[in-house]
Amino acid sequence: MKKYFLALTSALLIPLLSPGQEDPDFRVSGYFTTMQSAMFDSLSGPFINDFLIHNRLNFSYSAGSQVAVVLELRNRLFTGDMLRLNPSYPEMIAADRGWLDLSWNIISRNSFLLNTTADRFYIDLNYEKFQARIGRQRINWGQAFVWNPNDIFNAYSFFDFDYTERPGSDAVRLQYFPSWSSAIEAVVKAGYDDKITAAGLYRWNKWGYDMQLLGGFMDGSDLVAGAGWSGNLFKTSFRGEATWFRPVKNFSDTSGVFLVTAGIDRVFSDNSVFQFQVMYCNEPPDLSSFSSLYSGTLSAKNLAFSEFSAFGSFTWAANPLLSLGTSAMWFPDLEGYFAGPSLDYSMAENVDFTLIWQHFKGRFAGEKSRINLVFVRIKYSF
Amino acid sequence: MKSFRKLKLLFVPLLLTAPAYMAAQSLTAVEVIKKADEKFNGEKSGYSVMSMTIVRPSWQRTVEFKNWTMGRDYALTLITAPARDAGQSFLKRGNEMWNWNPSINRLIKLPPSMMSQGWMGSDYTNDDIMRESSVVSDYIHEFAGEEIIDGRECYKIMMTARKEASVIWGHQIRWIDKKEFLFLKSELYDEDGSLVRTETGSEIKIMDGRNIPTRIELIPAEEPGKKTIIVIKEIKFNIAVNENFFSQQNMKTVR
Repeated sequence: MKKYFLALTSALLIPLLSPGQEDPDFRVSGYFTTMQSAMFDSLSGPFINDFLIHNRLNFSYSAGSQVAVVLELRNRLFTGDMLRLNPSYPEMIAADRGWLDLSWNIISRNSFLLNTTADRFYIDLNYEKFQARIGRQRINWGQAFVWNPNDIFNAYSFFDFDYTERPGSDAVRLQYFPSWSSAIEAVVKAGYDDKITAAGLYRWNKWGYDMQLLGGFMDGSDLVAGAGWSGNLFKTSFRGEATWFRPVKNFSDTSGVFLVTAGIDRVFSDNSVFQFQVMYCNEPPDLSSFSSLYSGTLSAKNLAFSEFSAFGSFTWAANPLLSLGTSAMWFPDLEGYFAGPSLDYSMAENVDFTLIWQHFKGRFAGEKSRINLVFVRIKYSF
Repeated sequence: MKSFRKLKLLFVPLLLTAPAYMAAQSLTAVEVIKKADEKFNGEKSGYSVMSMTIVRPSWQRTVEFKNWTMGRDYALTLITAPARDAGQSFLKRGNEMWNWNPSINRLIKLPPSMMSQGWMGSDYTNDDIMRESSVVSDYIHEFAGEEIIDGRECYKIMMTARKEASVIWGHQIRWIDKKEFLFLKSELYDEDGSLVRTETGSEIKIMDGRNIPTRIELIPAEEPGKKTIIVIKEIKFNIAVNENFFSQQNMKTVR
């Protein structure tokens, strides 16, 4: 059925994309990165070294202002210890959690792996105050920065700094814009297991605040209701989100999972940034291992690892080319924390250098562990 | 802020009643500033394509963008370069501001304090780009003589910030071409009266039927080797836009 869907979509696209009176517009953009990473528990211990060459290609074609088609590809070439030591690594990389499987391991050998993933592939239709977007797309309902319980179509790891775009959802998204600042949305998404998420959102602006309410059904199992806001207290932004998840099965047996988060952020006159965010969850899931903390959970419902969590970061813009940052996250229930410095430097007009150190300490499945990850990345954007 | 808006409302009709046949010689200082401001920004609305180059002693970086404005309250800016930031847009309505980031598909509300901050690391502030303050209604103007800049006769006008106005400058001195009403030079001073930056306008060309300076240099005081250069590549005055154009929906589709 899925391949028919693709064929049908393509057949529908052709007449829509024949240029009307406006000039068609074709664009290509993206980036190349090379990234060296090392994982170790202490500086004297053994290092797990990995190397990644990553190319992102964004294609967009608009036939006038009403119709656009977007395809975005991620091509990654992995080499290193992780691949050699972990036989299931190629399978992990190839896993696509979407309804369509658009992730392919082109070449998979003992010492290197080439994977191509299409994480955006959609058609966008705009007509006056209506917008329809059909296909693999990013639906971002987040208002806060670090944890987004409102972002029910995606859940991702804060630590995966190398993938800001995040995976897409295979969905149909309809939007209506009653005014310049408000939107009504209806979205239906299907996951790899055919589980459906269907939800609606209303967003508006009042008293200097952006506010939203959402409700629906998530991953074929939970009823969801949430609210979010963004505004400011004097010069400081104030944002937050709250979502309540309640399984349909055994509805009366459980009170459900409730997540609420609020944070402040401030940009100073030299573009230095301060962020602070806290989160509460009535029922955080038990973490089985460090890797589930690191790679993130697969649902907004499982965002918390601890009843209370806190995050703080400060990025100092030393000059317009160089910024130095430090951030930390605290998980009291794991007796653990994450902390680490970062450095970003603009080497040339389109070339950026990044150094990130992530240090984790905590108790996972009853065992104390300590892990360091260091990344060095050079990125060329085009 | 509220009092500043009220004041502006009071002020605008006053200016509009100035008779159109008034000869240049009898223009008041505020009228000269208003003419020059309207000439450069459009009486009602405007569209421009610009590049901004940040020059520092050992490096430089360029940002390119398109800018739609209507009055003081509405602005939409689309970044077209560098590649890393291309596609991001900024919307300003009144004193609220948003940023749209297409790569993460996210609308981010920005606090009003972002207005007075250096735009993308430059000497140019959001206030300059998104035009929060008004050179007309936020200042008290008086003639301070006449001088020649680049061979052109100029009015020299002293502008003192009104107490109620939320502007970042204490006072400004502006040199305005007497014939063409062009801002050829400005000196911007902080509230303590020290010079913060000098702006010069040059490379006067006809764009959309008007003679305007197409190269503007912002030179911060006491910071040798530093400046920001704005080059206007295209400009249109009084374009057909209305309030609905400045919407969150349009931030995502504007090209």
